[in-house]
Amino acid sequence: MSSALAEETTLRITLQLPMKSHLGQNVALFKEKVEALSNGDVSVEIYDSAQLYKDSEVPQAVGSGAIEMGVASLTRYVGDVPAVDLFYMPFLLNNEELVRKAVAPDSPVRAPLDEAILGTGSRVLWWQAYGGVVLLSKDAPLKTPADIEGKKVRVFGKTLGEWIKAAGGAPTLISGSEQYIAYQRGTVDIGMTGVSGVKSRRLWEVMDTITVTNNADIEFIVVVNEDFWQGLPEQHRAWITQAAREAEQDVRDRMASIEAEAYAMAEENGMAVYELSDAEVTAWKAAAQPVYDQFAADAGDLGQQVLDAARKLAE
Amino acid sequence: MPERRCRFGRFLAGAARPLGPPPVTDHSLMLRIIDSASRFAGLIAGWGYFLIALMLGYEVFMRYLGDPTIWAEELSRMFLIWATFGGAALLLHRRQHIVITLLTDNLSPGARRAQELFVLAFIVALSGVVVYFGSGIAYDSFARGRTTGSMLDVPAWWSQVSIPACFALLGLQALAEAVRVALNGIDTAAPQRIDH
Amino acid sequence: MTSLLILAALFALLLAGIPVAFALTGLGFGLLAVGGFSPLMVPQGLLSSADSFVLVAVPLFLLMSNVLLKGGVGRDLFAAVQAWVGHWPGGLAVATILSCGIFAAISGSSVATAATIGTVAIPEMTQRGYPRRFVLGLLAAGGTLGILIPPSIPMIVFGVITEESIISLFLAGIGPGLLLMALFIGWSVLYASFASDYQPSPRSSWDERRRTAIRAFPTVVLAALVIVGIYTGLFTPTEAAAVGFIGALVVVGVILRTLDWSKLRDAVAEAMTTTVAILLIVAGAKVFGKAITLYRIPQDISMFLSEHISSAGMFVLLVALVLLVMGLFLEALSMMLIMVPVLSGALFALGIDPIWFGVFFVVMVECALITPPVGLNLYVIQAVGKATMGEVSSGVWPFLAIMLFSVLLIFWWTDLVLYIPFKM
Ligand code: NA
Ligand code: NA
Repeated sequence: MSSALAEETTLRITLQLPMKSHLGQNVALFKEKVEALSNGDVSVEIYDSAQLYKDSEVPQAVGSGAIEMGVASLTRYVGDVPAVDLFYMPFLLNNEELVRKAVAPDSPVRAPLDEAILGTGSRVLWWQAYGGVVLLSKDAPLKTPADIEGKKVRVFGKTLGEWIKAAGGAPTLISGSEQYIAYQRGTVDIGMTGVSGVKSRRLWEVMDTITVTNNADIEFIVVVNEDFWQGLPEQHRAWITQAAREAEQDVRDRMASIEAEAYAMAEENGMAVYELSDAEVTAWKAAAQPVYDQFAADAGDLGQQVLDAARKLAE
Repeated sequence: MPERRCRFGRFLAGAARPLGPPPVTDHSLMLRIIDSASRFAGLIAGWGYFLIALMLGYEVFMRYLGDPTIWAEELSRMFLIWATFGGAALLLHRRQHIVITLLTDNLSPGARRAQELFVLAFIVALSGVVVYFGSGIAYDSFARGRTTGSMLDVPAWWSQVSIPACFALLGLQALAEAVRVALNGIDTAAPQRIDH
Repeated sequence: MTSLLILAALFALLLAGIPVAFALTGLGFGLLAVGGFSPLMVPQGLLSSADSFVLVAVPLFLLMSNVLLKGGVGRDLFAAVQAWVGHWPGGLAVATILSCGIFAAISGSSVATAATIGTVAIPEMTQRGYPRRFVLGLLAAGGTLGILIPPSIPMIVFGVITEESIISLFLAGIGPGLLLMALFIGWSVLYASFASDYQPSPRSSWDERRRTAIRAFPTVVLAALVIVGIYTGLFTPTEAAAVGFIGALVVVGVILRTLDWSKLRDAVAEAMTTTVAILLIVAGAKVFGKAITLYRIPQDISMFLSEHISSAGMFVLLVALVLLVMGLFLEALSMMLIMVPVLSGALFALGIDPIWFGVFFVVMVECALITPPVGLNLYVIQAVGKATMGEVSSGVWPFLAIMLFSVLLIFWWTDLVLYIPFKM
């Protein structure tokens, strides 16, 4: 291979969401930055909308080197690193300030997780903010666990399901694409989603109340295969790292306004937005203890370490 | 219909009527073992689908009692994976895969035999590729102790190993069919059509 | 250019008689290897395609219709409908279409519908002097209602590829399904009033009507339960399939008592065969799809389409023509698996509703099922009616024309498709 060829790098990135989502836009920003920095020596091909891999397949696909880069929700790594479920621990990181502290690159919460994920063969390049989890309902807000007692609640993962069960509801797995119709037809009584999903899926047509629980924080991570990374020229790694930092900063700074816009759109379209009082949050938290017990049992020493670190941030 | 059938084969033979596999004249134990393994896999696949229906029926029932299961959805996906790839070898044995016979119907018997051998060789080679790369994936998950991270959180290799295992069976069955075609020629009965 | 080469390679492998599932997987692997992409994508793609809760509905709907079939429900349905409408002008033909429509509501497959109703209707109609070509064409076309009226296996597959709601697709198929039934019935009555060479059936006695209706009643209730259950959100499509299957066991095992152990085993074995054959093609198409995505073929075609085609009408016309031609030669489900990922990228820009597009695509798949030389419904009717390919083929043309006319109608009047899922 000639040296001229060896200096070119192509990064293929697989992601689940479409380009028009804010995470897709963020990957496009990375592409723009890294191609500009490297003058085209590093080029990026984006495969959005799960054309190549579903979210759940990304850890294995990138870890095995089947594709260079991928975007997955952080909690997809729970099969390799159970401690990542920290971000789904009920009401642990329930405001922007706490989240920002926890996800800072060198924070005692994030750094050990990045390290553990590196052990699966994938290096974390940057984290993408997706926002907090909210509950949706018809007619009345969900002020305390009593309001979901015996009701069917849409969930999208094990830990969120355990939380709903602990709070007295019946968790039901519904995929993103069936969400709208499941609410419309009443397959489930209560919805659960990141607030930006309310806007992109026009959920105000089928639900009328948002309860801002922020019971969990959704983060996505952009990973690169470690063997591939080690094989790159020093300069390329530097360009990629720099572009990744800028992309990370951008989406983190935008998140608050993306969420605010989603809430505004929801209200414009007739939804009521209910903020929990401190007393109500306490009631929800009290009902969530079994989830923390389960985490302690599943997530090992690393889990305890990051949980302690996260609690310290809140002090 | 051939006389020799294992216990499981008898049940499946009913479904294959009137166009079963070609009568074989070989007595190779090896070929019969492969056939039996494929039939057994096909039998399990059929009842695996049946079991999925019962599990999901139970799940709906329990959900309306307010106590949904955490296992029905995931187990049904795992059964679907195993049953689907597990049935591939039996379908090959019975020539029940969907094939476009537009050209091959008009070939002379000699050419049909060569064509059939080509198809079977293609399947053997493809199975080899899938087994090779598929076993690496399953082994990696096994060695790392990776789990699905889902509600049920079972080891990831439980479903991943279905790919190399079932394609190994498919490859063996294709080899067995190739031996038969090479020794006995091909079945001249019309190919089985199946619906969808 | 690359696209044409790949298409040529695919056709060569298919015409060489390699099973569709393995041709797609093998070509996918070849493309990955030639392009320098990771061959790990082969096992990953196979596994990923089958790891789908939505696709679980495929074996379950097949189990449901196979169990009913073995329990003789097709015969009961036809007998009941015939007792009520058989004496009308063209009454047997009308009864056949109605029976196809009702059976379509419990079967997700066109071929199963054609075979089930064909087995009882073809001998009956030819005995009464209906021209053979008309009978064979009617059954081949009527059978295709199986995938338009929910449940529908191609709709499940479409929903999986495009991430659209299966429930919406199912509900969207009802309107066009009824439309097509009405058009077929209209044509049959018209045909019968000009043809003199058939004998009308005698009017059945009220006792006969009551007796046959009672036998068919549980099956109709079951079909209604499945669709109403999906519509009202009682259960997801996959769950509906499970409930429908258990209901089918009750109907033929307990109420009608026409299912015994050996019939159940046969039903299970046949559902397995069909499921495996279909889902392996879905899996192969996934591998092939990954490979062409890495060659950027769907992206390039989407971009070409959105740059050169500015109106939805042009796009739909073009797609219809391409599907009509490809449908002559390609197996129908494979056609959907190959074409939908390539085309769906252009929908958003043109303002075409993806649910509408799904229904349109299914109608085009129905056409592919009855156009020679490659059309599964033709093969089935040929076998069931002990006819030649030529007889069946020459009988389907009027019905094919009616189906294409219905495409025009749903294009001009999109509410035929979208009213039930979104406005009701
Ligand atoms: Na149907
Ligand atoms: Na055709």
